[in-house]
Amino acid sequence: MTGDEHPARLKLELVLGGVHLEPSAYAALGAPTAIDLRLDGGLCASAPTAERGTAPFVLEAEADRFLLRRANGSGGGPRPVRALRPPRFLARRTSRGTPMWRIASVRGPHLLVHPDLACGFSVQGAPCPFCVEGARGPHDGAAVAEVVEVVRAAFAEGAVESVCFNSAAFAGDDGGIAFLAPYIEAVRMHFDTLVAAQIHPPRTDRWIDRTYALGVDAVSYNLELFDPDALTRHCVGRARYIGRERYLEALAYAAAIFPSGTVWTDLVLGLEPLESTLAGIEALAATGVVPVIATARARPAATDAGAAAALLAELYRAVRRRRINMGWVRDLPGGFAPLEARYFAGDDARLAVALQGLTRWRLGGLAARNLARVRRRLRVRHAERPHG
Amino acid sequence: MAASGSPFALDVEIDRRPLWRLLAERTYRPLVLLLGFAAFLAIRTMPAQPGLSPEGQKAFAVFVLCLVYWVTSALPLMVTSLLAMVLLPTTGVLSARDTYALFGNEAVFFILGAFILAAALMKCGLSTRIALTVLRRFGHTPRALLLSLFGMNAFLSFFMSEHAVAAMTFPITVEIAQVLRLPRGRSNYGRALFLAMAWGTQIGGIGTLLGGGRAPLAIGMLREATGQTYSFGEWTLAALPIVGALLLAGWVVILRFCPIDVGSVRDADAIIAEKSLRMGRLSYREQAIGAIMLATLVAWIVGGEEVGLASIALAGVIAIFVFRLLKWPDVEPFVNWGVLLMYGGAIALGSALNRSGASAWLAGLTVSRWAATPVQVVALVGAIGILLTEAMSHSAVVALLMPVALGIAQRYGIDPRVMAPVVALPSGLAFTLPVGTPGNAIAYSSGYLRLRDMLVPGSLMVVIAWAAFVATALYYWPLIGLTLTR
Repeated sequence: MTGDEHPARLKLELVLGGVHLEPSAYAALGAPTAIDLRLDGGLCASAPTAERGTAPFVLEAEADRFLLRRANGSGGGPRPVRALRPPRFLARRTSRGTPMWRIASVRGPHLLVHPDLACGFSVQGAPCPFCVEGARGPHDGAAVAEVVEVVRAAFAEGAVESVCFNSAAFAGDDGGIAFLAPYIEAVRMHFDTLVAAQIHPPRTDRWIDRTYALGVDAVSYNLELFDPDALTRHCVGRARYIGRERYLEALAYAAAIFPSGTVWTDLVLGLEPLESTLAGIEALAATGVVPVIATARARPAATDAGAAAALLAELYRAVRRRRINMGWVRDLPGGFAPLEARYFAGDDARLAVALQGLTRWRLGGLAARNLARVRRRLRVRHAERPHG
Repeated sequence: MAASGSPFALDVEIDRRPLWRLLAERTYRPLVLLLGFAAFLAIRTMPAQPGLSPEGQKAFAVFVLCLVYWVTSALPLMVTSLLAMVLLPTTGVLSARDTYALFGNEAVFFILGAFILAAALMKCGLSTRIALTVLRRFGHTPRALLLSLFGMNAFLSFFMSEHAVAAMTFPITVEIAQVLRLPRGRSNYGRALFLAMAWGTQIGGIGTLLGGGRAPLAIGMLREATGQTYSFGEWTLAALPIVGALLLAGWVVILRFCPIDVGSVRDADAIIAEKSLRMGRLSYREQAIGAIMLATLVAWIVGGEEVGLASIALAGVIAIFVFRLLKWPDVEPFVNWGVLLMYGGAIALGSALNRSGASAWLAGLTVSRWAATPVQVVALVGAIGILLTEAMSHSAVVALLMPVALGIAQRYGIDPRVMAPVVALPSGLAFTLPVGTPGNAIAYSSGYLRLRDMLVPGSLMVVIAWAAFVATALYYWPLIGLTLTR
């Protein structure tokens, strides 16, 4: 593996092509369907595991370290990487007996909490076939105390830095935020952490105001695909029950309410023409939304890495052109945040990287959380009754 | 579902103005609080000033602190007054005994009585009946209806707090505008109706001691400083020419700036008639409260000086409860306890400034530099009062100006008794801004008035009011024994 090969390129090939685990790595990691690897520059890649001969990379364990090399022997020698083992707390149960992995999972430094039942679209028979979350089995829904317990366990282990709530409920006017509200409230009450929410667009923008007022620091209404036809084909539930236009409207409105760079949506690579994804990047960035290029792990698409690299370069340029803060959306193992895509544009983005680096420090993180709180206190007002 | 209930604040709004503006807004108050305190400390520690005693210096420091907080509303007006009550004994300006004794001033109890009497008038429906009767009797054409509304608001403000009158006649005015289908923001007649409501209450409010707390506050401060006072009749006699002049001028200005653009008010007649019908016959309670109110008025005029205005007001209140015309819980919403606290504190502070000689020293430092004769002093104090009250509470203006005015009187040999109306009358006239007085704010909230609709004709009224005040003070007051010089 060559030294001049940048980590984003490596991540791209890993998430698209996957990695084969040598027996030594199996012995150390078990038999996961995907493995999270920490690469140079702090990049985190979630690589699906694959049979020998189908994956472009091979991972082997040597003593207490892991080495990554190209399967075809090209690109120089093996490169040391950090394989992220699943945190121990996920194997535990809550005091009510619910396995913690049912309530939450870990994505890079983020704890993804999904306290509700199965995906609403799946229940309606209209799942997005590429979606891992949608394939999650049904459970009875977690109690607020259980969620607090899980979050406490995750922080105690040092496994995560922030909490992201996910709700797949879409039936009400609120897009799922009313269901998440007690959980979010409880987490904010017990932990000093940034809170994100991945939900569906509410029917009215007032719910977006309320979402921000509730204490959500970052929000995502995942459109997944920008191309209307592809959306109808691959995301039946989204197109049928909510509609592409509402996603775009809600994202744009949220971008005007939340701090710059905290409203994002995934655009899945390879399920629509790259031109459509490119048009989506431009359109979303123009409204202040951060597009994140994601890969579909449940149904990987054959995507040309070269074309994808060009797309990612444009992702970085579009977001930078619109002066959207690139520091918030970060460390996504299965996707590319704009700042990670800087490598493809050949830009150091020193200031943005330095600022993002600051927030990784304890003091910087504290400052970021408090600034977010001050901003909310300034912006949120409780409506007064009209005079007279 | 495991989670129940919602921690959502449903009525939230997100302020999308630039963050620096929001930050500036939020930091304004703590900065002002600090500024006031810094000014207090600076004055306390500054070297002794010629003509200012050590007690005077401390009293002046408290005054400046209260001045900053009153003008900026960094604290509620009444809390600032309480602060004065705390600081006067702790800084050694007055003893605690004297400070709290001043709080029991007659003016405070007079205002309390006036609040309760007004509550009785409103609660029994007599005030609404009077309003509807006036409108029904006289308001059959657009011009007559407008004039009736204007005059009725002024008339009622002779007997009740002008703010209470505005709050009471506002729904009637809105209903008239609605049945006449006057478009908000575009109808001349709509503007005229709400200007008539706002200005009528204000002009009427300066006519007697009952229209607001300004006059009793000024008299209370005068009494504490000099022992002199005003009877109900004397005050009314001094104020009436200004009220007459302003009613006339206000009517002309309203018609000039808002020419009547409706042909008929028949629909409004119908709604007024319907409301009157719904009120039924004059009830026993209304008759009894009306009789007590009338007796109280007569007693104020006849025996106010001997018995005291507050005693008569409270006697009227007691009579109402003796005859079970009102229950105490009915009264409580109408009594603005905060205003009473504010007056008590302001009177104590004013008295402290006078006793310590700080007010005379302050007068020498301020007004004396721009005014050389008693006439100029009256004109200047009137102008300051009328300008300050456009943006400040009427009572706060009196609380600020009265101690200085008493000092000026001492310095120029002006009869201090004159200074009470010189300060209180202009301080009750805020014509230009919605923030000037609750009556203006209520009228503005109707949506029929734009800021410009108040600002332009209001500015003209300010000039007229000042001219009417100066002319009255110079040419009319001497005729009723209120001379500028001793």
